[in-house]
Amino acid sequence: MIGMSDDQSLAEPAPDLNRVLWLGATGAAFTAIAALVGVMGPTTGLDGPRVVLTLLGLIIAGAALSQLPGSRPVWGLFAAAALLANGGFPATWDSFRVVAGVLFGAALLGLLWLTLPARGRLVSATIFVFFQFLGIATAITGPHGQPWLFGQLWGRLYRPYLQFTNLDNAYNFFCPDPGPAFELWFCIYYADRPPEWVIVPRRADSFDPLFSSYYRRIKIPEMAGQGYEPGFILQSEAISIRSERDAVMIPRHPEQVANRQFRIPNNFVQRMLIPSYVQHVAADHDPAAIRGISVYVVTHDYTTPEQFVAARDAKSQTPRRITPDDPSTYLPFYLGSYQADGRLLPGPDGLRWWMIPITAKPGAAPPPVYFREMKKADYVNFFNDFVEIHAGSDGYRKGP
Amino acid sequence: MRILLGLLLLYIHLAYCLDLQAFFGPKAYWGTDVANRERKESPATLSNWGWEPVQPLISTPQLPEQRVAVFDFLRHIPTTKAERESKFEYLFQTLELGSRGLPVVERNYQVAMAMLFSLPDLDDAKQARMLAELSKNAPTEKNLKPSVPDYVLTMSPSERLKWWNSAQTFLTALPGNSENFTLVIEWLQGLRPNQRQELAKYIRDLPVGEEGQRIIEYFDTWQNDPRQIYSKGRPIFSIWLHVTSPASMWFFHIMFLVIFALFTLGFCTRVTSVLTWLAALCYIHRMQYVLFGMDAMMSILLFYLMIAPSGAALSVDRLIARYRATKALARAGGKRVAWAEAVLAGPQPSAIANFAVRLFQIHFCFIYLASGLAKLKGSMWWNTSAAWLIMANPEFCPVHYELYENALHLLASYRPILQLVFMIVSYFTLVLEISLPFLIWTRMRPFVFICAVFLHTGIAWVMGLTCFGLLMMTLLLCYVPASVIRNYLTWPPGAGSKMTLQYSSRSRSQVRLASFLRALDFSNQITLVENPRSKLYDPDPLDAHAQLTLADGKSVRGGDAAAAAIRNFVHGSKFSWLLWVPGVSLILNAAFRRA
Amino acid sequence: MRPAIAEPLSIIGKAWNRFWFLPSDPTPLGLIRIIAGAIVLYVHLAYCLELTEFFGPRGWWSQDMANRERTGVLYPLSPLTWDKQPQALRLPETPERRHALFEFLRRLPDAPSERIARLVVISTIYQKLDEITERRRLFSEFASLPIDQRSSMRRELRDVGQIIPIPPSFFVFLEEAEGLITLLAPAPSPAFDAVLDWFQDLPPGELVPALEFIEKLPKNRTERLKVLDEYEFWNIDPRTAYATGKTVFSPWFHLTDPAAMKVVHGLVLIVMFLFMIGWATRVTSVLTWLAALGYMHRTPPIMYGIDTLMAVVLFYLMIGPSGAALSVDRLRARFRAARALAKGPAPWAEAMLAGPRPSAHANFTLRLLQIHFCFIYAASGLAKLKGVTWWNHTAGWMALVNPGFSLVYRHWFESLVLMIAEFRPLLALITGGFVVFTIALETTLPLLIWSRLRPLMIIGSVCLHTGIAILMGLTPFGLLMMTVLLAFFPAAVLRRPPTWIIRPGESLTIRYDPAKPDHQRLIARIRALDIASQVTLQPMTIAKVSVVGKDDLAKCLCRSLVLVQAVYWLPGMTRVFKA
Repeated sequence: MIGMSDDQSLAEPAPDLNRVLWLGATGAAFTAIAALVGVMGPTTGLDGPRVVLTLLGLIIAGAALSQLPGSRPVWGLFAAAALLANGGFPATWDSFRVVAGVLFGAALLGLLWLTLPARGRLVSATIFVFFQFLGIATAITGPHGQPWLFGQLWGRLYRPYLQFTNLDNAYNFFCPDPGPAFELWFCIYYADRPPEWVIVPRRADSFDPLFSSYYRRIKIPEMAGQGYEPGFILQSEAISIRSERDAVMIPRHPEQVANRQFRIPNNFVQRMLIPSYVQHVAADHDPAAIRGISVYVVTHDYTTPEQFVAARDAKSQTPRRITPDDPSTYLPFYLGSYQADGRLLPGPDGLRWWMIPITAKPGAAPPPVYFREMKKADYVNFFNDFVEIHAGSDGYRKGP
Repeated sequence: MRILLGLLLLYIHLAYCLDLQAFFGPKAYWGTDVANRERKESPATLSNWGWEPVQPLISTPQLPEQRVAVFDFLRHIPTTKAERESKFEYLFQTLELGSRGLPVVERNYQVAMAMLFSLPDLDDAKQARMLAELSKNAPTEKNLKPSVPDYVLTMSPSERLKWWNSAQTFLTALPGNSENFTLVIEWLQGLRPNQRQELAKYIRDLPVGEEGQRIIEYFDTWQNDPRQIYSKGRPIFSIWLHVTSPASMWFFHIMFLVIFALFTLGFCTRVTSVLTWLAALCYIHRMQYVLFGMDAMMSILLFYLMIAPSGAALSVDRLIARYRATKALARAGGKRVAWAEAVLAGPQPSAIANFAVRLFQIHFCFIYLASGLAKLKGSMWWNTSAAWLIMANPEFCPVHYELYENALHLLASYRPILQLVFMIVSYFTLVLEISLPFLIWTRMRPFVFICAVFLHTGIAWVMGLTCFGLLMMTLLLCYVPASVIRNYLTWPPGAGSKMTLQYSSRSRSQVRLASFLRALDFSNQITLVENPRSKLYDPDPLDAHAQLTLADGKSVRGGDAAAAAIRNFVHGSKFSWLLWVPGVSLILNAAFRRA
Repeated sequence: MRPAIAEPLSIIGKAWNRFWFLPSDPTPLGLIRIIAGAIVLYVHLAYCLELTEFFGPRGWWSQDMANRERTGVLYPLSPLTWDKQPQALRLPETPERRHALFEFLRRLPDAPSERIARLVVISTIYQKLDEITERRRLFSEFASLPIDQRSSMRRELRDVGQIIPIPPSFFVFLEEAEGLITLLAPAPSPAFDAVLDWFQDLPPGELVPALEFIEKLPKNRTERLKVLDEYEFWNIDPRTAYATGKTVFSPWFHLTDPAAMKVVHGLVLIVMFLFMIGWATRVTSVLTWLAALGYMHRTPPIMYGIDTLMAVVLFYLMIGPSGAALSVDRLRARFRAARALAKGPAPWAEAMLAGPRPSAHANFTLRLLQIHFCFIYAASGLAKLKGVTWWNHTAGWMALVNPGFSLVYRHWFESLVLMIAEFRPLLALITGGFVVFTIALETTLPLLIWSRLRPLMIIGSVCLHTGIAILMGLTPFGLLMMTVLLAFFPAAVLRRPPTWIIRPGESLTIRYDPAKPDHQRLIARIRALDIASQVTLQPMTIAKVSVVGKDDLAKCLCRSLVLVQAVYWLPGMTRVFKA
């Protein structure tokens, strides 16, 4: 297609133009019909068929185009189909109007392309290269304090393009620092039953050989765990938060510094993410019976090498050896209690956004085994799990 | 490279002339005695192979006056073990009892320490009452003034009295004047439980006698126990650490300058290069804290130049070599002398030269990569605001010039423009610094080379770090192929007007003249011709002089020949003004009168 | 233009054209399409069991939330000049307090002047620092009375005022108070205090902007409520936003009926399969791309590296002629060519059978892919240098014991790590080596992949991704990255048939009768499938097509044709060669 120096002499003879035109016309017609149905007033029942019809039309027109990408009328038909598709998709499928718009734009570009001389095509291809990778550059510098200019370019020019193509990613794999793992703990309270724990992710959830589904679940808590900001708290609010916290009979975490123990989830997490998660969890466990769901986002911290290699035999107490998923490596932040529909339970909640300690009892020497393999007796003997106490569930949360 | 560096070196050290005292004198910013002490004693700690962390054996206070008090107290620790045990019994006991972190223990500890406060101002009556109370079988707590820890109450009377006495004796070990006394006890009170036992241990097995004192002294100065540190002192030297009298300092300084000059000219380079290196290091080591990038670059360059045969080309040494070669040839009178011809043919390519150049190149790559990657650490270089700090830095930049400031204002008037400039500046720097070490080896070399020159010119101009920039560019020369340099600096054989010198190999003076001219004649303009008659018989007075025949057929004799030749050399024309310098031509004449 | 400038420019221009537009063999694209297609297919097959959980109306990221974000999210943007954005109000952080404040704002009257008038009492309360608490107490006590009592109280006070002198300012205060009280939640209540607290806590510089904000709120009530609602939800003043909503799409934004969802998912899988085998690639490539995007756009919270990469690869495969080689399309083209040849000489058909035509388009696409790959590497390499842990090598340890990803949850691995960590220098060496290797590779590959070192770089990156796949378990991601690496291979290398899979087939001679149409069709079919050109044809008058020296044509072809022999066991494979 880029007509630099492929010699067209060896090209396969093109299929019959009229047949292709007919094909394209059919496609356009399909979309047209769908659009007409849309215009002919409130036909809510017909949304499904309209969508199917429009998609079919687009695909057919596209097929026609793919057979004869060199002819303007075919491009024209495709453009027409895309334009009509805008009306063809019902309002309930509004997001597909974006697609139709993009296809229409593409069609126009295609037509423009055909009008260009060979040199013009080279130039335009070059322009595309620069456009593309400047955009990638704006995306890449995003998380590291973007240059003002890139910020403007992204906001004014690239955002729609990069969002649609989903190329808007900085490729920061384990950058700038590899972060800890996160988990979400939901404690569901029923009217009639004892509370029940839901924990994401668990390796047991993964059923495909390459753990793809497990890694998707790893991502679920991540946004909730990372999405907090050092909110400037107004004075009297801060005072009341602290006093309410102190009113609760649960101590601060003895080993964590004070300013790490309280953090405010950002607006997105507070108002969208967690409510959505809660309603999903509720939907899985008959929502009718649910009194409330309290949510903890848990940072699963690293063990330092020092802790990792520390005294390996249970007898020598100090320093205690800490396995990578020792209970004390979990730092739960309480995000509040919600109703089954994802709204916050009314009423004061002193502990909200505070870290709740899970610590080894002083002088205790638990067997250095995995949390998930630890016997309940051991767990109760060796650890103070204030999450259990706070959640009021004696049911021992089997290791995540 | 040697030459450029030498010039810079001269310049930089000439600049020192003015503030020689300020930087290197005994009363310099960084005084000689401090410098010496630091050189000898500064501690270097090092984490050990295992995982256990290195922490000071005991925790000492940070407040200066408290430090003084505490170390004073530590200094007066009795020298013999037995005495320690007796004097410090009370302290040891309290520390060990207080080393477990339970609340009740903590209370006891604090009480026991607080009691010490009140001991000095107990008058005899109080003393007596106290003793009486303590000697009871079951003393009542409220009668005990000052109050004592609980465990004392459970003791037997005799133990109790013993304990009381130990407290009294410990009192004598504490500093006399009240402030220090309070400070020390406050320090003891402030100790965290786990540190208390350590303190007791520390005091117990602090070596007796001199050594103990030395340890405490060192601890006081460097906040490190000498038994913990990995090594003491720093491996540096400098003449300025020892020479202090102004006169001698000036003497050395001037000597160094002379050495630098010789090095620049390339006179006995093998020796002067080493000397230059050492001399420069003297300056650098002496004033650790007044250095910046420039000096680092300087030491790098000098170090490698010292390794390299930097005198093998474009140097006085070279001229001398040529002189010797021609002499040998002339002496040989027509016979072939291989080595001499080789010398005259041009500098010999040598493996060591190549090696040195490679060292330069690799080192340069390291410099660039390091500075490029380190920039990525902050977000300033990512969001290009670093550029602004560079362009508007009041210390370095020419913002104080009206013109420059106005230019900035002009740029800033339309935001996107300024931002564009930022972006170009910072991303150009980043990309160049990171990619040069890789691209310099490819066919992109000329391109990145030019970019680097741009970069350093820019820095030199904007940041005003001219010397640094020039040094870097000098360093850059190591990527320029030798042939290019030669083409710039020397003349291809055959250039310039031809001359013939007729001389007689038997007269030493003529030979000297011949080889002198030949040594200076880089583009083989002169052809030496043996005077045919000189073989036959003793030269008659007419032939007693070497005869230089110029291109235009004129012929000159003896002393004038030298001058004439120099005037006719291709490069000679540049130096011929030397001849007008009074004396020069006289010297020439004198030298070759008899030739 | 002076030649001194023109010449280097033209050189650069030529180099540029050679780099981007020199026609090249599309085979790498074809291979990438097949492998990437397989991975994409796998990833989406994994969705089958969790379709409702991730993309259903009540999935983790629920449909209405997703739609709300898609349509409503606000993008503020600083102006092109130096003047600052209108400063955002400093709001309470706790939802209750914030809600209380916004409730108060909602109650504000329409007329801006009146709003300010109602707020006068605020300044009266807070003007004297030492009296604030006193005045607030007075205010809230007064507010806590029911309305009629308040008015009666004022009256009585006035009467009392005749006897004992009460400062007139006090009456004024009560009057003003009246104005605010009606806007506040009934006192005493947290909501009531929240508003007063807010006014009290605002930093000195921000009280005025706050009042301005209140004054500038739209006069029209519905409009005002809309602004306030959006402000409360998004925590951004909608009027400062430059853009609203995301340009994303997905069937999963709209589908709610499980059955319909299953159907759509099934269709998507089919399309992806067709794309993988390269059937109607021009169409299926676009469809595959769009379909994959649909999943990504619907539920961003569960997307990770693999999806990012899929978006990239599918985008370029969609642009490029990814079906021009190693595809069903190609076989069909060969068949057409063979038919044409049977009818008579046709140069294009010869060329077609000779092999895929090199095209500038293919080269262009490959270059795009390569450059993008370099961008990915450079970005992740350089960004690592921002973190301290990559400088001091602790990142290596973190990767080793990351409880989420690494293998450390397996006992054998943990004890292995323990064994290493016992001897500190060894651990330091390993983690250090790992870190240095990663960063060195990621930062230098984009530069050195173009030099003689390309093979080395490719090997290095394969090692890296294998290592990650093993240690961190991100297998599909690693595979896909390695697939993209294929773009750097010369086509010739890729075209060479992997002899360790396919044994080179022996050459055959086939007799047929060019007169018979059914013979022609069969021969065309054979030539289409005969990619290694093993067959030589002998036209002659003969009853049925036959191989020289073999009895059963079909079986013999199945066994010996390079392309077919790998799959000859498929049912009906022999029927292909029946006339």
